[in-house]
Amino acid sequence: MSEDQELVSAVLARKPGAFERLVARHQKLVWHLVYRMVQHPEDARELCQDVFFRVHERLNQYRFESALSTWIGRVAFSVATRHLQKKKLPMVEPSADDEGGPAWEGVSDGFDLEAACADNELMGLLGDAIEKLPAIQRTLVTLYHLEEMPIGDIASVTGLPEGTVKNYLFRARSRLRQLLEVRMGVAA
Amino acid sequence: MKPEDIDREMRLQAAAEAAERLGQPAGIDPELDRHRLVIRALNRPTALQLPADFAARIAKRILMAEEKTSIEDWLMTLLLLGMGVVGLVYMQPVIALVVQRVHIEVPQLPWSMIAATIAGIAVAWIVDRTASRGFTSAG
Repeated sequence: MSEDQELVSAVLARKPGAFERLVARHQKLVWHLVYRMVQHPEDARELCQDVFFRVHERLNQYRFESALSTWIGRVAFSVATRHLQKKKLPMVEPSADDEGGPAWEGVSDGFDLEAACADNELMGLLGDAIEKLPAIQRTLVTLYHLEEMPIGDIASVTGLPEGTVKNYLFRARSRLRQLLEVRMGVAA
Repeated sequence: MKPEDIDREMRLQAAAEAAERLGQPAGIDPELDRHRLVIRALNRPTALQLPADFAARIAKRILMAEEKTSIEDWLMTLLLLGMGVVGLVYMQPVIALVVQRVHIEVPQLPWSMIAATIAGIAVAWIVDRTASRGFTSAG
């Protein structure tokens, strides 16, 4: 029996502490996904609670066809998406990704990765830029980079085709790289 | 972006990701290092997190909600049962009158026995339902 099956069986059998273990194991994923989507700490905390209430209510419908984390991720994605729809906030903004074009012409050689990484201002700028990505791109980069979820699982969580997931990831990283290079005066 | 620019960007993104994953030394290719910086920014966890006792709190709230529902079920069942018994007692003369009107010969009914049987069935049902919900051991 896999770890997921064991945990789900324990929760369904109402073993003491089982659901708490399930929440503790998946709360980071749910938080990252929901918070990055709604970008409002209070709303995100409440939505995380809703996600786990819903997980508890519907766990008997989980059929082990995907990893438990993927199933929970799907619940979280649906809860956060509904919240954005209710607040009339867009998931995908009109694309401005391609503006600016490549920035590597005339690149200077004076870039120190470790120094840049330690530069709070620069990292803060990139952090802000991540927050300003369209909601769907924020979600995808979060699942891919923070949760290290495979593309196939991300597609399953979000209901997007794998090619679209890859495309959004590419665009998000490209946008951040362009912003970085403009900030550093690399681009013309 | 032109197709060749997209290809180049994709290769650089993949190379930066691999370099970060493998912990390769930086400083060889400044352009690749800028892509690596983007990957590092994306890998950084959000500053805000859920409180440390979040899981315990959620589990407790769910347990409390279940207990509340069980108690409400108990009360509702008892209320319905009480109403049923009272109704039967009050309806006894009416039932007797109806029976008399339609000329059906029925033996004198032991109403207290009937009420006790209904109550017994209801209690057994409540006990069975409570046990199946795990009222006392929900985790």
